[in-house]
Parts: sequence; structure tokens; C-alpha cells
Amino acid sequence: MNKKHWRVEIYFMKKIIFIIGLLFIYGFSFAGLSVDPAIVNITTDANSSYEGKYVVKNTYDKPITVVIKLENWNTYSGNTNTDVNRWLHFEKDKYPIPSGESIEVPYKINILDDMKGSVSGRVYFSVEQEEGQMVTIAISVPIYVIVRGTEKIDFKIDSLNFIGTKNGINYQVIVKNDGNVHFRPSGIIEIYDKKKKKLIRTVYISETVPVYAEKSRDFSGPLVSNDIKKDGLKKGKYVAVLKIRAFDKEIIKEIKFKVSKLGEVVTS
Amino acid sequence: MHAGKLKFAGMHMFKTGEYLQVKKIQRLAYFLFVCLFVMLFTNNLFANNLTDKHVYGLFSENFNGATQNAGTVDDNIVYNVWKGDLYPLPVVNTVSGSDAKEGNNYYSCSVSSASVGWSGFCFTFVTGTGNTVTTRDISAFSTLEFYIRPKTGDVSDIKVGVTDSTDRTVKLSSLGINNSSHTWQKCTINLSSLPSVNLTNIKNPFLFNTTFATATFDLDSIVLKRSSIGEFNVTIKNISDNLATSSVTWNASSFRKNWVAAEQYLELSLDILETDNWNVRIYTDNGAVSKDGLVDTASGTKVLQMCWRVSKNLLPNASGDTLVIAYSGSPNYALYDGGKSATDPWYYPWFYITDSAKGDATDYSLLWDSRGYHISVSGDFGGMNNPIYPKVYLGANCANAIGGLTYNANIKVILSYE
Repeated sequence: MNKKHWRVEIYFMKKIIFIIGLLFIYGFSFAGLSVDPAIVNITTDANSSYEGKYVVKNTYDKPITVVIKLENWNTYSGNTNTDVNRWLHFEKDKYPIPSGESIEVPYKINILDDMKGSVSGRVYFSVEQEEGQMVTIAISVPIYVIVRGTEKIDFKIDSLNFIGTKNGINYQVIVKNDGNVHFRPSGIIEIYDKKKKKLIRTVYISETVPVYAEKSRDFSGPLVSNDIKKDGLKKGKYVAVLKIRAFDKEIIKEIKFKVSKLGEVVTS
Repeated sequence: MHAGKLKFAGMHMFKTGEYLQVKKIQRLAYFLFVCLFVMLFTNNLFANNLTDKHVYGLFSENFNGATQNAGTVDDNIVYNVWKGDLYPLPVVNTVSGSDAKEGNNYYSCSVSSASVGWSGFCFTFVTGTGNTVTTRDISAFSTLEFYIRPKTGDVSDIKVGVTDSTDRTVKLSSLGINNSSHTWQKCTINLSSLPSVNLTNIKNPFLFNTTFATATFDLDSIVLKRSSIGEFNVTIKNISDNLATSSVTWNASSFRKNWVAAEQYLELSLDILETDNWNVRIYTDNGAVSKDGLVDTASGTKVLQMCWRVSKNLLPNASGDTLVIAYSGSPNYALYDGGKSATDPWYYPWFYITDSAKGDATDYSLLWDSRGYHISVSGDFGGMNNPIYPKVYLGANCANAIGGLTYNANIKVILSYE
């Protein structure tokens, strides 16, 4: 290797470093959007107003414009006009945000005299698309308003089914909300022997997603696996007791079912 | 420049300064090569999540954070159990089950009473391949959050918190745990409220300990959170080199072929945990229910149907996951991985895309939620391990593509809360 050769190598090394530098810049141009808070829950009186704000942050390495769009979302139908634009108001529908900065986006809720139960809507914050861009990202957050003094809490278990799968038996619970406000139920399924004397297994249903006014929601998950030694059910008759809770109310449903030698399940 | 000379066997003579310049540039180039390699092929394993993330997963299948026994990685932790004399060790096992609060796994814990003694469980920051115990600064984080599911016995007196030079804990009863409600319950500890804690010098970022308690309970979704909010991001990347780009394209050879995967994928990054009722969905945003795919730009009426698939890993990969999209035909009319079985719905990872104009929120738009990434149309979800950046692959049915036309689609990826 001679001196000229080394100079050539230095030249290429510099080129490589330059290219790698560019790749780093490109590769690290990760960025995104954030909105706070994620959920707004308000309980207020009819004929009142509420003012709030979202904090929207641009973590892109360039300025962006955030476009705000409202969408109707599970408002109780007993309200004569369910249009979210009737009660939820933003000053503007577009907000420019410099790179790396946050802005406050104020909003106002006006609860009118004729509103009852719950009114709710979704607010979409999306990054305005530039020419030639194919992918848009958006964050969608709900606002729930309960009109104080008009709540009706009423729900029931529409069905409880057990379904055989290749891995075991799954439960499927359908909870029906006959009230006018949403709720987030939790529950428990207890499996007893046929005389209901021995508790064999307990399955918990966590409080997670809401059941909206006048809607049903399906909750499902594994009841038992096929592994008899672990938690599977032998051939025989059983009793299942389902308890669903929300607010201070608990409702109970009981069913009997049989498990065949092959692990198939039949409810009665 | 110094004018000395150096001579090495087999080499010609160079001036010292010139030689050092060569070596310096060479070392820098090699270093950058290594960094680039790690960045591209280990996908952010190089990152220090403790510094970077707003939500730091200590035991999480959706949020990046610590990794157990991760060798020299900055976010290395190990878990320990301990006991005093005459006291049984707590039993802490990782259990897989779809009744996990998050992803597929949770900790099943059991502590039992004795006449004297104490016991506990913790995560400990360690460093190096020898897992030397170290301390880290977690003062940027404001809360320690986790889920507990009491099962048997009484968990009220169990203490949870962190360790600096000593344990800084609060009782579960002070966090509002309902001992008789056997459901997942959220616990939030305001870190600065822990008595005398030094958050700049934390050895154990999570622990529980107990004296005289007998109980079984489950733990899941253990995270540290900052008070400031994080971000949600989608990046388009080339399949060929995993570098960011600005649009999704199909190779010209796709013309008149059935289902073909695009040349790019979307990489998702989630660093926000405002509530557990979140999900990420994907739609076309072409303005009409019937425009659920690539639409010709001339008339706006000719549509090439699209599909999507989300994976925790890059595709194709050594596990046999391919980017070949096959059509099952009757009776399922599903799209499956051409490298897998046509009859097992587990291998139906491709979902027909829907347009946002349809306004639905069906499983066919659901990419990711607290259960993990959406594996298949049979309703399976999968938790993930660090680094957690789910990848969304797109496909299109190009069988009816017409020569000379340009097709385009707007893709919308939405993070939603309920």
C-alpha cells in the first residue's frame, strides 16, 4: 500500500462518513403528534357551560397544521338533536404548530335546556396532508357529558354463552345498556359443580370499555383451557354464575352447561 | 503538523500526522458503520428508553422500556425475590393467558405468612454482562403505575414502591385497592410523594414487600410515566433498506397480478398511555365506502382493493412469515400468508381494508390495542417485547389494474380512545 493509496482511502472514508451522516439524519427523523387529555368526562347541569382546553404537541422536525374535526359519537337518542356541533365548539378548525412546540386548543361546551342523559362526541386531531403524502396520522379523543339529574342507570345481561375453541372454552357475555348514560362494567364468572356446592374456577372481567346508552357490548375471553390438569373441565354438568357490576348496581345470571368427553360444551 | 515518521511491517513510511489522520477517520467510519448497523438491524435496541420515553415499561408488552437480562443494553433489569429467615420465598411466575391485563403475559404472585420474617419481589437496574447492580435517575418520571388483581387472601398490607438506599413504599390499601374485587385494578403511585425518596439514585424501580401477609394476586402493565405527554407516530419505511421514505409504492411487476404487497411498510410508535382504553386503527381515507383501496386518479371510479397486516417483526423473516399474499377462496374467502397454511385461520393475518367513510370500528380496521397487535382475523392478539414498533404491511389486488392509469390512496392511521 503506498501513500497515494492511503489518500484514496481517506477520500472514500470521508465520503462514507458523509453518507452515513445523511442516513442518520434521515433515520432519526422520527416524530409525531400528541394530544392531552385523552378522555374528557364531565358531569354538569342542564343550561350550563364548560370551558376546557387540549394541549396539542408537534414533535415533527417541521411545522405542521393540525386539522380539527368533530364527529357524533353515541349520544343518547332521547336528545332531540344529537349533532355534536350543537354543543361542542372550537374557535378554529386549523391550528399551525411550529416544530417541537405545543399549543393550547380551547373549546367550550354548552349544555342546553333540552339535553338529557349523556351527550358525547369525538374530536379528531389530524396532521394536514402535504402534496404527495399518502399517509395521515390522527388522534381521536372522546368527550362525554352527563347531564346531572337526568341520568337513568339500567342495564342487563343479554346473553351468556360458552363457545368451544381449539384451545379450550371461551365465554361470551353481551351486556345491554337500557339507560341513558354510558358505563364501564366489570364482572366475574364462577364455575361450580352441578350441585353448586364446589367452586371450580373463577374468571374475572375487568372494567375496560364502555357500554353506550341504548347499545350492547360483547365481552369475551377464555373460560378454561383444554388442559384438564391445569384448569380444564372434565366431562360433566356445571353451573356458571355471572355477576356484572357498574355504578353501585350488580346483576346476576346463572346458566347450566355440560362438557362432553371431547371437551365440547352445551348450554341449557 | 508533527513531522515524525512511523514504520510498520509491510507498510510504507508515512508522516505521523498523516497516519494519525487516516486512523482517526478510519475509526470514526468504523464506529459510524457499527452504529448504523445496530440502528438499522436491531431497530432501536441501541436506544436508552429511560432517557427517551414518556412511558417506560418495566413489565409491559405495548410500551418500550426495560428488558430483563439484556446484557449491555442500557435498559437492563433483573427481577429478584427475597425472604427473611423462616419465611417462605414469594412465588412469582410469568403466566400466559388472554386474561392478562395487557398483552399475553402477567405475573402470578403468591406470598404466605409465617411467625416471623419478611419477603418481597423487585426489579433491579443492572449493568454489564455480569448484571452488576446499579442505580439510575428516574426523576423525570412522575408516577409508577401498575395493575393488580387480588385473588385470595388479603393484599391490603402489602407494600409497593421503589428502592433508593432503602425501600420507599406505600401500602396497597392506601392506593384504594378493593381486596374483595377480584378484577384488575389500577394503582398509581406519585413517586415524589414516597417518603424521603431520592429519585436520582434508584436501584429498584419497582418492588413489593410484605410481613405476615398471605395472599395470591396478579400483576401486569408495570410502567413509569412522565407528567408530560408522549407521542404517537407513523413512519413509512422501505422494505428493502428499512429507511424512512415518503410514500407507499408497488413494483411495476405487480401489474395484473393478484394480491401483491407494497414495497414499504408503516412503522408505529406509541409513547402515550393516557388511558388503557386505546386502540390504533387503519383506514383508507378516500371519501367513499366503495373506495376501499387504490383509486385511479383520472376518473376516481376504478378501485384496486387493498389489505393490511401488522407484525411485531420485520417481514419476511426466518420464522417463515412471508409477504406472499394468498387467497383462500371458499369457504373463508380470506387472505393468508402464502408461506403458511391455507386452512388455519391463525395464518389469516391479512385484513381487507375499509374506508373511513364507512364510519365503522370493526376488527377489520383494528391494528393494535392493549391486548397487543392484531395477529389474525380469528381474533388473536399478541404482546410484544422491546423494541416495540409494530410494522404494518399493505397489499393490493392488482389483477384488474389498467395500463396507463395512476392509482392512489390516502391512508389514515388513527389512535383513538374510548
